[in-house]
Amino acid sequence: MRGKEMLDAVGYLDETLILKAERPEQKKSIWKLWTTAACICLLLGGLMIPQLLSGHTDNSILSSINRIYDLFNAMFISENGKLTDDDYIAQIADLPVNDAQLYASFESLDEMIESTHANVIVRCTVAERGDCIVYDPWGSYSEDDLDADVDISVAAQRCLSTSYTLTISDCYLGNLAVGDEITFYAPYGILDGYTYRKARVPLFGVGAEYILVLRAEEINGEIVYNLSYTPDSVYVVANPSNSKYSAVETAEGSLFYVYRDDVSAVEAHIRALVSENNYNTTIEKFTSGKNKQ
Amino acid sequence: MDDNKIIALYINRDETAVAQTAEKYGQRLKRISYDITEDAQTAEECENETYLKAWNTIPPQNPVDYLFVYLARIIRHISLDVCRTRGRQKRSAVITELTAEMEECIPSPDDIVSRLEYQELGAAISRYLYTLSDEKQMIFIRRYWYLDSVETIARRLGIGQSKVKMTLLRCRKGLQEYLWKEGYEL
Repeated sequence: MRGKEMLDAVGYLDETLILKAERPEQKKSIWKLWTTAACICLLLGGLMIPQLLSGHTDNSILSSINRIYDLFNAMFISENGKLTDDDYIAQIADLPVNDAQLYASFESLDEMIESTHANVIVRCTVAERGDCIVYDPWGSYSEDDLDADVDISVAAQRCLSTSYTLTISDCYLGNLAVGDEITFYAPYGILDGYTYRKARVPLFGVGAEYILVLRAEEINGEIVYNLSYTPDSVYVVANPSNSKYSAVETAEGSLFYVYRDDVSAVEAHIRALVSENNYNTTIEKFTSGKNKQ
Repeated sequence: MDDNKIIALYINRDETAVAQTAEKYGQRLKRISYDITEDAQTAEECENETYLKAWNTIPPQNPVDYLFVYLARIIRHISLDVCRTRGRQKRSAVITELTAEMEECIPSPDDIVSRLEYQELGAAISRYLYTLSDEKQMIFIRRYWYLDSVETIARRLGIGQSKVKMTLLRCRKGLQEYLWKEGYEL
């Protein structure tokens, strides 16, 4: 019982200490992560080029590359950017990028844009909310996998995403025009009773307006838009009262933070960042490969 | 809305105080509770209880400079209690383990807390922690305030689990000596 009371007394630690320990650590780790990953990609690229030139490819190298993509994908969809899931950690355990397991956080929007290689920032309205699907542009998992054995099913559930049609009302970074419509997949959703983590309500309300920081890639010829990073990539501009879910409900039902700052200030900040920094807006092209183990 | 205004709403018994609190701090509070209870529904219940407790205690409390920490303490306390009383097997085992670890810090077999207010003891532990490096502080607080597992702390700080365990052991011994020297029990 006395240990219990000591544990309770710890609850009264000085507030400075509590807040300091709440702050995400390892700000540097994301840089190390990207640097390490870049080195690995260069290394793998270096290893592959002679083989590609000779017309041969080594499956183990291709597999490693796919797993590195998995790693980044995992980082982007995992809650708060942490790679906390045992099987993702197991998946990357033998890769020389252990920093990926560490906490990634950014102190500024600028740092987040640069570190996550965000290449599109838009203001947009949700025109339509589509169905929840198993969305895996890398082709590893499909809807059928939800009913597969536990490991595969859990992995497929992680890919559950809900599609949204977004109408662009302003483009701060990237090559989208006002009035363009894009399809965007946000993590989470419910399909046939399957869900993942706390995804009880869709994140985005139809008719609601957001500023989104996105990472666009071309995969198998299709432009794919994802949030560049959670939780710092969503700003709620307006969520009409007739929306099924209020902004607060959607925020609490998801793991994204919602910024309620003055929108014009957010826009001004983003515009200043974009004009001051030469952010890369290139949309990289990838070809997906089956990498299901 | 800044904390001053939220506190003013509580003091004026304006019920929007709870909504404003939830909007500003709900996510962080729920995260604390979820890390302790490892159950989303329980975390939500704890969050709601926290708002109720805040509503009932402000006023007379006036945590104008530390509203988040005030709420965080409440939700931690409620979440710990829920784990203890509902006896969820896995989490109860964790709480029992943490309780046993904290026993090691108590400098005498007497019932120390019966003579010391929790707050005083918490302040003494804080003073001890301020004598430690940032990393040691972080390890101790993540373990005993946020109830993180050793594995989680190691991952968070990018260090080995054995280092975390060793640091915790030394911290507990150091805290025991510190409390002893401070005269908390001789």
